[in-house]
Amino acid sequence: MDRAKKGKLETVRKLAPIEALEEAVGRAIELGKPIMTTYSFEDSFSAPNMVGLESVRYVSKLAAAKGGKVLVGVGAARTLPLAVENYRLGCVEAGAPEMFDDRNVYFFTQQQWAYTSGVIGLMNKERPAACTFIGPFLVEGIHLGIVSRRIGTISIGGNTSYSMGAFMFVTMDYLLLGEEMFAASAYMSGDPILISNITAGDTVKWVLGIVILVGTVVALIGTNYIGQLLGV
Amino acid sequence: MSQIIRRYIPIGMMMILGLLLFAEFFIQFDDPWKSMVSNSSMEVQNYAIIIAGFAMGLGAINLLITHGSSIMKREKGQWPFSAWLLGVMIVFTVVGLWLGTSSNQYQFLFNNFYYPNDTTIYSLIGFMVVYAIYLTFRAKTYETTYMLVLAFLALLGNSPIGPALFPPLTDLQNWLSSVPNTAAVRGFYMAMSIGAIVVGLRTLMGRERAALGG
Repeated sequence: MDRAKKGKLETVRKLAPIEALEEAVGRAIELGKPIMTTYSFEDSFSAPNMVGLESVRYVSKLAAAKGGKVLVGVGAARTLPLAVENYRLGCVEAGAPEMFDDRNVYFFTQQQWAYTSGVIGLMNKERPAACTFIGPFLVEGIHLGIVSRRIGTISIGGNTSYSMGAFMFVTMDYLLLGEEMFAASAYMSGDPILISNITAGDTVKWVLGIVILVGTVVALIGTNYIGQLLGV
Repeated sequence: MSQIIRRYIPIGMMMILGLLLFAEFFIQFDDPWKSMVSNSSMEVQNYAIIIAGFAMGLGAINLLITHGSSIMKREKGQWPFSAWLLGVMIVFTVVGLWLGTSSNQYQFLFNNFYYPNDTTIYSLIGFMVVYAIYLTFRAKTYETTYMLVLAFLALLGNSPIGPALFPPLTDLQNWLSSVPNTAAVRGFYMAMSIGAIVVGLRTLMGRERAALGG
């Protein structure tokens, strides 16, 4: 963070789903079709939900800059004001506040299958050219992925769950899996300090990796020195 | 002024309340601090429930705006569904508030309108999974061939015919599941957890703009 404050910017590898998202928005605008974004029905302010809300802002910004229509699907009522505000903010950041229309925000419910039916209904009705499903999705990810394939939309998913992400992995075109989602969140925000957090997280992973490796070698030798040191 | 109201006050509140809940979970206090932190944390969580109640009202307003406008414009192919949705919402709300959610009338509505629809969508999973398997296990590339072979081994190892034909298959399947698979899953969750902690810290510091919407 200190490095970022001094103007030393970290370079981040562009993630394929984010690059695809930019292309998908362009394609949707060429076709004159909307872009749909939703971030699951989970009623919490968990880290994956925060990333989902960030994706609402990013998609709105990309679409509004080129004059595209965005449809925002909302599950939990508690996140509704944040989704509306992120959608509005994306349009403002793109320099097109007139693109914001609160009638494009569709509140469904926080009941899993009612939410899923609502999103599927919206997809069938509006036929968006691109859809993003970045958030803490559960098994409904498989329904959304298959409907995306059926209506021929580009689908970009994101999930932090190993087992639930698998459903999205096999049915969607692109997927941000696990920690990629959090890196994407920082990338989408465009904030140098947030991007520097990715480097900080990676450093912690290296340290943990080295501790695990040393611990394994020490354990293989036959002592529990690392375990005693960590109090486990 | 608007910057103070829209940004700094919410960030300050988020930091203080977040740290309070953190402290209750991670730090072992002695009395009288213990009861004070515990009571404050409980109070904050009660407020969260009350705010969630208000949020439901916002959701109802959103439904009235989007579907009300569809009915007013007589949107082709949409307005009858919008009218149905608003009608059902009003009936459920009136019956729930008037007779209570545990009344026979409300239970009748729930069990005969909501529940069958819910289970119908849920039960589609079976077909969806078969389709997903068809999509995944086509030996078109090196990766999909690798997945196909492993899935076939796992399937055979878990079914009675596999070990009957080739007894070491059970051990092989157990090894695949408990060694390479577990190693990959642990790596995945460790990296993901660090990412989640970083997002949590960013939110507490007010750097995660999605949490405040600006």
